[in-house]
Order: sequence, then structure tokens, then C-alpha cells
Amino acid sequence: MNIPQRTMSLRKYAVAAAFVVAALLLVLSVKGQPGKPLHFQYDLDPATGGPFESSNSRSRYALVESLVDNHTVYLSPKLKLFADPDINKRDNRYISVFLPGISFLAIPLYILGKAVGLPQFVTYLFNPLIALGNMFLISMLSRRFGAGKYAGLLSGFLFLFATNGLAYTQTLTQHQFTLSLVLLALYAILGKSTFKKNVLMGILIGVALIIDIPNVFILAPFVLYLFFQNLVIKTTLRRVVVKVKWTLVGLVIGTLPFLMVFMGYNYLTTHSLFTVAQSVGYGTYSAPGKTASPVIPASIYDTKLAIDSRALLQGLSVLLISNERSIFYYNAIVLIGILGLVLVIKGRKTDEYLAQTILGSLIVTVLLYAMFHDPWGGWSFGPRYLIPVTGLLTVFAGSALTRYKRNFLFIVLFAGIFLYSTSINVAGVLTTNNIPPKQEADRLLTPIPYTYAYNFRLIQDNTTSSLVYNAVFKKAMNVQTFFILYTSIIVLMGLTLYALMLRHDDTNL
Amino acid sequence: MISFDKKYLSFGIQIRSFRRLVPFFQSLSTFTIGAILVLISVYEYVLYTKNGLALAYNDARSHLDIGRRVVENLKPGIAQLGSVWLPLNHILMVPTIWNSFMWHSGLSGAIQSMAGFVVTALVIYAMLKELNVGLLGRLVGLGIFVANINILYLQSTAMTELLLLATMTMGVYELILWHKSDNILNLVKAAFWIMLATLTRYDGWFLLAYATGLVFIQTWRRYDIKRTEGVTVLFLTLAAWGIVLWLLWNLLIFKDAFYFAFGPFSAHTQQEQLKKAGVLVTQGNFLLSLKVYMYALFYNSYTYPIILAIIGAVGLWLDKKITQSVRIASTALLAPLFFNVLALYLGFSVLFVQGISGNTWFNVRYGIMLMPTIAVFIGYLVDRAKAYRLLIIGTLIFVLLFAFANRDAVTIDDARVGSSQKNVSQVSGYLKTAAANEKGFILISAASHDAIIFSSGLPMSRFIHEGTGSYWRSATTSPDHWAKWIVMRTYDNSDLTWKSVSKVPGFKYFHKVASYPFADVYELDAAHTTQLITSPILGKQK
Repeated sequence: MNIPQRTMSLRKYAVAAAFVVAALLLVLSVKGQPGKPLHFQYDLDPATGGPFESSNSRSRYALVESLVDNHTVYLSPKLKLFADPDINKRDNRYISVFLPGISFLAIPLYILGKAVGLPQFVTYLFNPLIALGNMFLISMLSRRFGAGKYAGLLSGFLFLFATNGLAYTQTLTQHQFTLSLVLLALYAILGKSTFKKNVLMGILIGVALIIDIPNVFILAPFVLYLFFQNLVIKTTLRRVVVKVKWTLVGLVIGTLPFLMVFMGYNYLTTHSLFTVAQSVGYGTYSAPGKTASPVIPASIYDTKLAIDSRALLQGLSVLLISNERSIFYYNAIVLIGILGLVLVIKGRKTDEYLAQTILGSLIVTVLLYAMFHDPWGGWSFGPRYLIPVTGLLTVFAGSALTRYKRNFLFIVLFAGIFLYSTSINVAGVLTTNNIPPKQEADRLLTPIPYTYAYNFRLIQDNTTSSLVYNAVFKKAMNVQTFFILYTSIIVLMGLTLYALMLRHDDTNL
Repeated sequence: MISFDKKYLSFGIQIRSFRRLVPFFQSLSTFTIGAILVLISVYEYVLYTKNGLALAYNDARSHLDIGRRVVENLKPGIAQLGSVWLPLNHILMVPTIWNSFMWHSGLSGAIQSMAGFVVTALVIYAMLKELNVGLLGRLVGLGIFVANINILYLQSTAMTELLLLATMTMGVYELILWHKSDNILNLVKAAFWIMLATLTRYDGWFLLAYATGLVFIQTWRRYDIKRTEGVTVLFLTLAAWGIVLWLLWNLLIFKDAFYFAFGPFSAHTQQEQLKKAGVLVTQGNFLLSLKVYMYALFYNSYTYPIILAIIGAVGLWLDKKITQSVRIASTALLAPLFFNVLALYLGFSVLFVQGISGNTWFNVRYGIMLMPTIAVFIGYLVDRAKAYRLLIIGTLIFVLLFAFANRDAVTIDDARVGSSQKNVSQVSGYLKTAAANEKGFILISAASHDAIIFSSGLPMSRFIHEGTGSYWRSATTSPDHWAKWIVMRTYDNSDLTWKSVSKVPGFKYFHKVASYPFADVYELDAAHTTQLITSPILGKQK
């Protein structure tokens, strides 16, 4: 097919512009305060609205610092206090409760940051970079499922700025990277299975293992699909022959090195190859001034895992219905993704096994975290555990956009959802992720809202976590204006992509 | 045979070997499945007996005592079946409960539950077959029912739930067959099973009303009103026979046909007490009743299966390949839902779900009543949603895996730490030590302390209770002549022993020897034991 040179250039410019705008917006939302050097670089300050406001970021950052500066996985007394309460005590030494994957991956950035005198700032660029990568992956995958080029790009853009994934770009958590693994796993199973793809899947599983244990369950449907891709069953008159491709060995080759890292780290921290620090239990560490009271189960029926089917009802309510953390409340844009997924499945843009694999990963993730004893994810912004689900669903938003882009009802619906989701999530990234679950919010001495209403309250109070605003724009405008400007840029970019989609994308669904 | 080349590692299996397996799976007979279910049932019974949970429910011990009193008691006989609980469970115990091992191990009551488990599972399998569900769907339906710890636990106890599930599911199954075939024999069988259900738990009474409505509508749709009347009466003649007998029984024994409903030991009276205490919160509040029951249902079934069952149910009711009459008949599977919500709303039933109504569990096992329904709808879904079978089965296994890993059983929580338990080991232990090797009767109210009677391990004939006729009357008038020990809650007039004995002169010869959370033990002063009657002298009573 001959594509006019002008259209090609326009696409290139549009893609480049989208990524530049996205990168700039992410820079604008970097958390911090001015200072010489910038605040938070050497001050381990856990203040709300700062990069260290959440212990899940602090604990990972503490491990990075410990590994680079102290050459040990054990946290020094100073880092122990900083990472509290996401730490465990083992043999009188303190360890991070989290698996070390994110910390390992952030090490080069920390070293670079130290070299330029901005260790926190540069280390925290990890997630913005990953998020930009996710935007690219979503755009690419979206097109594989029949979306137009601009629709795909818009899908990636929607994920980045109209979901709570945005708020987690400014943390040192696993969520954005987990999504990358899911998207890459989906990429790995599309098309013909090859040795390289199998190795890639192996690497993904291995990396997933050292990032966060639940990732293994989230990726399991993709691994199963890949396994069956490498299986040939032939029936002759006399025999049934099951053939397994040798290329499947790639899966093991890819996984093995990371499995060894996983076991090695476990051995260092828990003296057991397969016992992770988290499973040692939060109860083994007590904050200064408090006494740990180990709970001794009276019966085997009192012993519960962190993932428990009894919690499922509450978890589903929290993650799917509640205004505390529901995916539809914070990431309403997934509705467009669900519509797109239905179109893809109905339009047979995917075979039934691939459809089951995608649905399987989505359902398993929701069920897994709904069964988790803390589906809220502690003090957090939106359903942080469902960022992989949100991202995966946004892949299919492109299909819905391509199909219904000229449908008036759809345009109205999309515009409403886009504006709503964007404004919420911009409010989140510009203020704080520290939003308590309802039960905790109600018990605070000074109660605060347990929804994004808290973020809007902070904006009204002229408070933002944005380093650029605090350092540069503070005197020029108030936070509300900054928020409106920030949101407007996203909306403008979204509208531009929509307009390009209307003009240049084919409706091929 | 294993071989390999540059590209593949190959495993070859002779097709003959497969051919041998195919008929095996296709002809998985009722017998084979039944045998597997029996093995599971026995294994689970042994498991819960060994860990001491088989008799954790206070009600389980009471059921066993009722059965035992029919054959071994100061006044044995069929009248001991009582009035509050429906009698089928206790009648079925009679052939075995004379044996002390069968009584104290709980096996005499558990056998019915175990049989109920096997029968219900087989009926689910058969019902799915009648709905044209293939082998995989049938096995998944069966699996959903069996792979539930609440079911596995309750089938190991002397409770009535599994017996009810078996009779109700059989009734609905035969009703569906009748809707399909119009064969009167199926209707008679349905009536028979529903009659048994009405003699097991009051849930069966609601099913009877619902089934009667279905029979009436179905006949009316096919025939004229005269025939409709005839068929409905025929159905009711057998199906309602159990209720008629029960009313008659209450009239003859207790001089009031509705003694079971409004008597002093009835659920109604208990609910009145709860109402006075302000904890019967569901009464008059439909939404709360629905919420409480739904929570019990979700907790008993691990939530996710219900979501799939709802999808399956909608699919089934919209399935044009299934005749409309069968689809209508299948709504009878929801009878337990309607009944339980209604019973909570009307205040006939009480159910505490921790965190929703009250801070404890109580009767949360009522949520198990829809397990066969859930199993049938999921089996159907697996069969029809061909493109999503792996997804459905995989995600179900995922949730069930965690249910088993956590030993998630809300019924066990209720039995262990909820209000359905009653740990009377201290007082029964004292009684056992004190009375096992000494002569003399123990005066006690069975209505209040059946669990103590059971747990003491002493023969039933050592106890003078409300059901012992002249012994009770004599002992409550002159306790110092009849009882060596008295077990009761001091100053509690709801304890019939205290209510009667505390006012009589003979009580002053007793002194308190032990005090426990559930009851105090009094012993007759040594100086007054000379006139004490220590053997049953009143002969056979009417």
C-alpha cells in the first residue's frame, strides 16, 4: 500500500509531539520542593505530598541507597526508620519487606543521580520513563487489535493521563513496571511463537518474580497460552502424538537467571531460597516505642494467608464499586476499553484462546487483589493494584475509538469520561497519593476525605507537590490555575489526537 | 513412546489406549461417581471427627440427644422426638443411635448428612444431564458442590442441612422431570421428596408451597381447570402429608397443633427473646434481610461462584433450546433464597453475619442452602459458554485454591467461635468425673443443657429432664429424694430446673460444688443421701 509521504511525516510528527508533550507533563508533575540542592535529595523526609510520602516508595528507595552506599541488603538504623513500617526484622537486622526488583532496576539511575547531585530526583525518573514506555506499548498493541494509528496513540495517552497510573509515575512502586510486563507478555504471545519470544516470556516471568509475587499469577494466563502455542497434537488412525517444540526451552533459559537472583536475595534476607521477606510477616517488626505482639493462632482455621477467599466479597466491592478505590470511579476510561475488548472479541480480531488469555489475566488480577487482605493498598490514590488491569483494558480503547469515532453518542460519552478521568487523576498527581481508606479516614482526629475530594481540597488550599510549580510558577499563578493549565494541555492533546484520528484513521473494525 | 528430532520432542500414545479411556469417561456411571463421593465423604468425616469439630455445633449434640432419648432414657419412646425440630433426622437416627459409639461419635446423625452429600451431588450431576449439559459441565457442577469446605464440614456433622439439600434437590429434580415428560410418576416422586423435605427443616414447607404453585401453573397451561385441580390435589396429598402428620403429632402429644410454632421452646419464642434484647434487626427490614442473607450466601460459596452462577442462570432462562416449562421449573432451585430472606424479614429466623448484623456468627450456615443451585447454574454455564470454558474453570480453580489454602469455612467459624458453638467441656467434664462412678440421678433441663448431657458421656438414663414425665415432676418437687446432682443456671428463670427447684424446700439440702460459664453444679449434702432414689423405680410410663 502506498502511503503519501505527507501523511507519513504527519504521523511521525504527531507521535513525536505526543511523546514530547507526555514527557513534559510528567516532568511538570515531578514531586519536590525547591532548595539548595533540591529538597528530598539528601533529606529523607516522608512529608505528605513529597516523593517519600508512601512507605512502599520509601522502603524501595531505602534498599537502593543501602545497596549502592552501604553495599548490603540490610538497612542501616537511619534507613530502617525511613522505610518504616514496610520493613522486617531478621536476626536483629532490618530488611525491606518488598522484593528487590524495582530497587535493582533503579540502581543505575541512583548512581547517575548521585553523580549530578540529585539522587532522589533522577532515581524517581524510573517510573516516568517506564510509563512513557507503557504509552508506546499500549499504542502499538492497540494497533495490533485493529485500532487506527492515532486511535492507538490516543489509547496510550489516555492510559498515561486519564487513569491513576499517572499518580504512580511519581513514586518508586512496582505498578507501572508490572503493566510493562503484562503488555510485553501480550506482545510475546501475539503471532507465531519463536525461540526469541519464548526467551522474552521467560525473562518476563523471571523479572516479574523479583518485582512482586502476584505478578506470577497475573502473567500465568500468558504463559499457559505460550505453552499451548508450543504444543502440537496430531491424531492419526493409530496414534495420538503430542509434540512439544524445543523452542519452549527458551522459557526456562529466560527465567533461570532471574530465578537464581530471586533465590539468592531470599537466602540473604530470610535464609531460605523460597521464603520472601514479605511472608516473614509484618508482625516481626515493631515500631519504636511499640511492642510486637505475635498472634498465635489457636487453630489451623485461624491461620490465614494474605490472599484469602473470605475477603473476596469486600475486595470486589472496594475495587469495583466503592468510591474509595473503584476502578470505574477513578479510571472511568476503562469503560471505553471494555467496549473495545467486546468489539475485538466479537469481531474475531483475536482467537478464542487469546481472548480467554486476556480475560484470564484481567479477571485473575481483579480476583487476586480482591482476595488480598488490603485491597485498598493502604493509603493510596485509586485502585493502585489494578493499574495493570487499567493499562491492559486501555489497549482496547483504541478499537472502540476507531469503530465509534463518528458516533455522536459515543463522542459525548467519551468527552465526559475523558474530562472526568483526566481532572481526577491530574488532581492526584499534583497533590498526594496518601488517601486513607474510609474506615481509617473516619477515625482520624481531624477527618479527611477518603476519595479524590481530598486532592481537590488540597488544590483549593493552594497546595501542590509539583516541584516545577513550587520552584518556578509559584509566584506567577496559584495552584488552581496550574491545575487547569495542566489539565487543559492534556485535553488539548487528546482533542488533537481525536481530530487526527477522525481525519486519517480508517474504520476497519 | 518418546522420540525427538530437530524441532520437536514427541510423545506418542497408541489410540487403542485412548479408546479404552474414552468409554470410561463417557460412561462415568452413577455408581462410579457415587463411590468416589462416598470415599470423599468418609475421609472428611474422619478428618472432622479427629480434629474435634464434628460435634462443635451445639445443635448437633442436641439432635443426637433427641435421637438417643427415643431408645435410651428414663422414659424412652417415640414421644421423645419432641416438637421444635422436625423429626426426620431423628427418626433416621433411631436404628443406630442405641449404640453408644454411634451416639457419642456423632456418626448416627452424620450418616444422614453424608448420604445427603452423596445424593445431592449425584442429583446435581443428573439434573445437569437433564438440561442437556455435557460431561465437562456436569463434572464442573459436581465439583463446585463438592469442593466447598462448608459442605464438606456440614456433611460430617449431625446437622440437618445436607439431608434437607438432598431431599429438596431430589424434589426439584423430579419436578423438572415431570415438567419435561408430564409423567405422573415423576410428580409422585417429587411429592415424596418434598414431603421428606417438609419433615427435615421448615425450608421444605416453603418449597412445598412454591412447588404447588409450579404444579398448578404447569397443569393449567396444558389442561383445563378440572384436571389442574386434580393434579394439584394429587401432588399435595403426598407432598403435604408430612406437614399434616406433624400438626397431628403436635396436637396429640402437646395438645396444640401449632405447639412447634408458638410453644415455649419454639424458634418463635426464642426470636421474641432476641427481639426484646434488640438483636432481631432483620425483622421488618427487607433490605437488611436480603443483605444479611446475601452475605451468608457469598461467604458460604466463596463469592466468585455466585457471580458465575448468576450469569449461568440468566443464560439458562433465556435458552430457547430448553422448554419454557423446564425453565420455569428450574426457578424452584431459588426457593431457599426466597424462604430465607422472607424468614428473616418476618422475624421467624435469625442469622448473624459478623460485621453486618451483630459482632458474631450465628446460623450463618443457612447460606449453604443454595449450593446445589449454584452448582447447577455453573455447570450449565460451562457447557454453553464453550469459548470461555478454560477461563471459567481456570478462574474457579484459582479462587477455590485459595479457599482451601485458607481453610475458608464460615460454618466452621460459627461452630468454633460463633454463637452456634457452646463449649461446655468444663461443666460436662466435672459431671463426668463426679458422677461416672457414683450412683444417683442428675436433674437437668434438656432444653437448656442438652450439650452438657451429651458431652458428659454419661448414659441418658442417668438424667432426669423435662422429657422424663413422672421423674421430672417428682424430682422438681422433691429434688433431695431424686437427684444427687442438679445442673442449672442459678437465678435464671429461663432454665426450667432453676425455675422449678429454687422454690421447693428440698433444694436447701443442696450445695453448689462447681460454677461454670454455662451452668452451676449442685450436689446433695452427704447427710441427706440416705433417702435418695438411685435407680429407675417408676416403671414404664405412658
